[in-house]
Amino acid sequence: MAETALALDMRQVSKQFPGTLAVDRVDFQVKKGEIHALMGENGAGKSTLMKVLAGLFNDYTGEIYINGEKKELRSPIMAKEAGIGMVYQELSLARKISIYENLLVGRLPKKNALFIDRKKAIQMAKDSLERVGLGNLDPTISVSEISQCDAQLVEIAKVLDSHPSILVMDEPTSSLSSEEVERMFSIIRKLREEGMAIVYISHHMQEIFEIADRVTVMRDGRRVGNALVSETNEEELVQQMVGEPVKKFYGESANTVTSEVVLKLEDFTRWGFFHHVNFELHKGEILAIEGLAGSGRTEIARALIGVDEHHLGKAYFHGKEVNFKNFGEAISTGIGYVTEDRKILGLALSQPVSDNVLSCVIDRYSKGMFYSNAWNNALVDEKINEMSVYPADRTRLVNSFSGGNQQKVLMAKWMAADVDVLILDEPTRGVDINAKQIIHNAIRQYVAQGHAAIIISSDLPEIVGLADRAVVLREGHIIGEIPKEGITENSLLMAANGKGEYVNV
Amino acid sequence: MKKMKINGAFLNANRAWIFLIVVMIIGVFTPKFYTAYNIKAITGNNTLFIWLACGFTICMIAGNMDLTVQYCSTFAALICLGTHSRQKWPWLICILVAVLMGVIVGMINGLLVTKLKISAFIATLGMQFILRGLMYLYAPDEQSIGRDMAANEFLNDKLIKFLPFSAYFLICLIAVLIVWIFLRWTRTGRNVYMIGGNIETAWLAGVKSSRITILTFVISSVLCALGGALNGIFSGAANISMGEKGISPLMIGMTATIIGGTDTSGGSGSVLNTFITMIALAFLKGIFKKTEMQVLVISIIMILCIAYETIAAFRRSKILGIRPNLRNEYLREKGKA
Amino acid sequence: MSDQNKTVLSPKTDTRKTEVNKGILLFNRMGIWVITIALLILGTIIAAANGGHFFDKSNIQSILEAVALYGMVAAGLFYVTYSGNWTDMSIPLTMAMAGMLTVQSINLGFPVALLIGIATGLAIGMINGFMIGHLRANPIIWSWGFNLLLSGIIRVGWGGKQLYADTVAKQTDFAQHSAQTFYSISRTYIGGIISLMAIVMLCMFVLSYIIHAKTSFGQKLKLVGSNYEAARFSGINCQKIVMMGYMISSTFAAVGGIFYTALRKTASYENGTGYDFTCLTCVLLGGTLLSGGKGSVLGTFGGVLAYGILNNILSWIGIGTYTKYAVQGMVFLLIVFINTYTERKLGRS
Repeated sequence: MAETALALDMRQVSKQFPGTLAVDRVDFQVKKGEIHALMGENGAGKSTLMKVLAGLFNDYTGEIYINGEKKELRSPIMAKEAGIGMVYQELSLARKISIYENLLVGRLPKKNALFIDRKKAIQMAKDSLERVGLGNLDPTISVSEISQCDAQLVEIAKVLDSHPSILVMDEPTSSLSSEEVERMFSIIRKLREEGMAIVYISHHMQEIFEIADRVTVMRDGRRVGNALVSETNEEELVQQMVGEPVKKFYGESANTVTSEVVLKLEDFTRWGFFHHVNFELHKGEILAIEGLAGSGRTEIARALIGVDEHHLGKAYFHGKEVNFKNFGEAISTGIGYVTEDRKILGLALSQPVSDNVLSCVIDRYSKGMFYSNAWNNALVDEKINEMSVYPADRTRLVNSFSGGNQQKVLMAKWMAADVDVLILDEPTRGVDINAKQIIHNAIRQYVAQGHAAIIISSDLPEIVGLADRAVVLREGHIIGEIPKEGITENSLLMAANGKGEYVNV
Repeated sequence: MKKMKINGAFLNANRAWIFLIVVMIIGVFTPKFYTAYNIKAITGNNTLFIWLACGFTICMIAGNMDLTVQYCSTFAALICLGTHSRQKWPWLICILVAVLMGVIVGMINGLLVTKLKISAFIATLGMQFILRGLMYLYAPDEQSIGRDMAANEFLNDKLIKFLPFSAYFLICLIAVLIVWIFLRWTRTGRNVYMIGGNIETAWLAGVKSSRITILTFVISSVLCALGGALNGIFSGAANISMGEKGISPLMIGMTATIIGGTDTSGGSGSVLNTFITMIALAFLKGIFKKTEMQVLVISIIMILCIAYETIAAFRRSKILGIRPNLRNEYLREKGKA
Repeated sequence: MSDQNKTVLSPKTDTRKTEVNKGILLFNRMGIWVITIALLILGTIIAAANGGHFFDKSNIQSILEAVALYGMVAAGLFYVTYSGNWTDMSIPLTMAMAGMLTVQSINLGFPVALLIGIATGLAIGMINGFMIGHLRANPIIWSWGFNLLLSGIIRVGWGGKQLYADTVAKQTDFAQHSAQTFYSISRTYIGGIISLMAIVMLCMFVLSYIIHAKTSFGQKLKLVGSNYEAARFSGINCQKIVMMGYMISSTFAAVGGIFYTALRKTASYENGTGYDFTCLTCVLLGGTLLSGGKGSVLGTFGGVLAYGILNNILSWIGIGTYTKYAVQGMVFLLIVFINTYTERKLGRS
């Protein structure tokens, strides 16, 4: 039993969400002392699978065996007791509280019936920090005083304290520098030597090849590949992740690109977020900014529209230099930005459709100081019909719509704004296929009318289907450009990982 | 052990002590300041505020505001003196009745916040007015005096002969220390910080956050009720409009809490720091004899503290999410240039 | 993606949250007027039982007069609550400061003094607005601390004394006349029936209504109040909008403070005590959400009326001034509870 023992054996696990089967009869095995990478595009089902493992759903189907025993993981506590430790992407530490208390929350050692044993607590904290290589960190200082990397390691130490046999890490390196990643990896290797089974989720191909022993690839809720890392290569993994080339869903777009430059960035820099960015956008073009999450793609957009500052470089709009102090200026000049998170950044959910659709054009349609939404009811109706918002009722509160229709309202808002250049940040995240199609058609039509668009998306087929050109962004730098003919899911994914023919650094 | 670094963060973390030291140095230049009589009078007269400030601090550490502290203490004083003079109960029973009232008020506050999900500021604002109304119902004649010289003298006497402090002040000091120990050395106490710092983390670790929230309100109200009752005995009178002239006790409590370094969004702070600040404020009041000047000086210090924290948070938000790799690159580029 | 095409057939309609309790929805929209009418009926009954007439001219007059000052302040405070910043705790000292400076500058003539008083409010609003709108200070902690600072400034500036317009005014006809005009503004009855204060309050409500419902500022404030970030990403200058909200609030409070001072004939740092709480009660009573983005000036007006009628009824019953506190506190908590409860039921956090 010893060598072949499976720490985790998930058999035919499925999880149904309303309208979609997020995880479809997946088998997933992890051996003891193995680092098992789990890969897949956004929406492939890997995080849902891990949430099943963490006990966040009580309605999954299938069987889960841990160390050979069948377990029911219907709640987070059951999962914890079964020996599963989850390191989440967002830190769950209280920043103002000391490290040792964060580590020992809910189980501080007691000296007697009344008091906690601070000495012992600190010693316990020191011991668990030792395991993650933070032996000389003072556990009495607060989390806010240590670096992001250390905080991440403290988080791991906290999870390790519950003595899990399986450790799940979701993009643990997403906010670390390269030196820090090395540190993190040596810790993970040490844990492997201790016999722990580790599931490692990452988008970074390099990391997988550096650290993982085995890799499982998921696509559309299914397991599509499983191989030893030593027996596979990047091309093969990318192929598995993207599957057969898909075209039918995205009809061929008419080429409307002209040579007229609408927007040009020169040496555009916000220190610490993106450096020396240069690109041009042409009239009638859809330009994709391709990069992994955290590569600085959203930050470029935010700095361009004046929400964040930029420190160096210039932006030219129709040949004229622009420097926006706030987003309002950008809109009146002709640059719009469709935010990525419709619920937090995009829409006033508690207000009716008409308020939302007209929210960017209040100044444009106001007469002196005065303004009324009622003056523009026709415009609202036109735009929500154009976007096929259902039900097409401008007085309905936005939070009573489905996600897809909310996203359509958000698009209608920017169609009503009638700007020259539209930056779309994840325009179809979490919406159904119908809404997606409608939104894509709207983007195409918009560009065909002589506008231009920049698209930022983690949905690779979307970029393949829409973009006329892609610039590749990696860790805050533009490292290459892919012409329309070259845009495939393969090339995008390779380029985002700093590989392939289109990368010139 | 730990190396002390003198920098902005260090100064800010210890601002309560720095404030006290500065005030004490100013006191040296004030004539007739460091006399035993003066110290005893200053500390005695401000003891009530210490109770209130500490109550306010506990709630704020848990991420809430308790605006009832002032009326809770006044009401307690009225009940204590009232039951003594009307029902002729012994002092101990009277104090217990007053404290019981505190427990009830704290429970109601806590339940409003945790069960009805009304934000603490609003809930206690409403409770504050209910208490005020009840106070007038209980003592419509605006004052209820029940002077008992023995008890009064006991609280006014020096308990320890060579220390220039009244017994009342020393009792308060003991209470503060107990609360401090509770918050610092017990599991429940540490959980108070945890729910103030990150209620989700606390919840994930199985901390019963609503129970602890209620507990903080109860402790706060009990401290205020006890302090108020003793203050009534100490000063021999309970005035219904106590603190409505001059700077209100609630305001002083909040000021001491904020200057003492308790985070206004919860999760950090210490009753001891609040206590130190309160002593400093008491000395300050001893130095600036005029009420007007007191209010101005105290308010300026407080507004500076709030502004400092606001601006620091504003600065932090500007560099939120910075990429370490790129920051290093920036430093390299800057080094070359 | 291709697989999803087969498996996913998204429902065209989404019926979540449409099944809202109609009663809750109605109350949520019309609540305050239901309460006001109920209170009016209750008032009539109680007054009749006590052998009086609720709709008596003098009674109506006294209700209007009693709420006039609250109304002026609440008409402005509405903007702070509506913008999602809960409440402005510096209302009392804004009122006091405006009164102080008006009285102090009475020698320059009444109109100038009035303008100085109003400008005081504007300046205080700007400072609050800058700290809260721009630097995102905690609105309650900041405005409360600022309240204390203003109190300190007044107390030191005027040595803790009360100020009387006729003693401040020089012994010239012009100055004395200004002082008398100042006193008279709170005692003038238009046509001998309706007090000038009530008229001013109504005018301020009309002004407030226009600002809120008819201007681009009002529309922007609505979006800022319901989702600050979304408003920012719609190109709205949120910092400026919040700042303007505070400026309106403080200016209205200053006008209230001037009338208050004229009514009491003295200016002191104590003027305006309790207005923070009472006016917040009126605003919340009017259905404005504490978290912002929902509410109306008309509702606030209803809230002010309801508050006045409730007070009137309490005095018909014979409840003393102080006991009213308890009743007010309970009404306040009840209203807040109903507001939060119905909002939760309607699917807002």
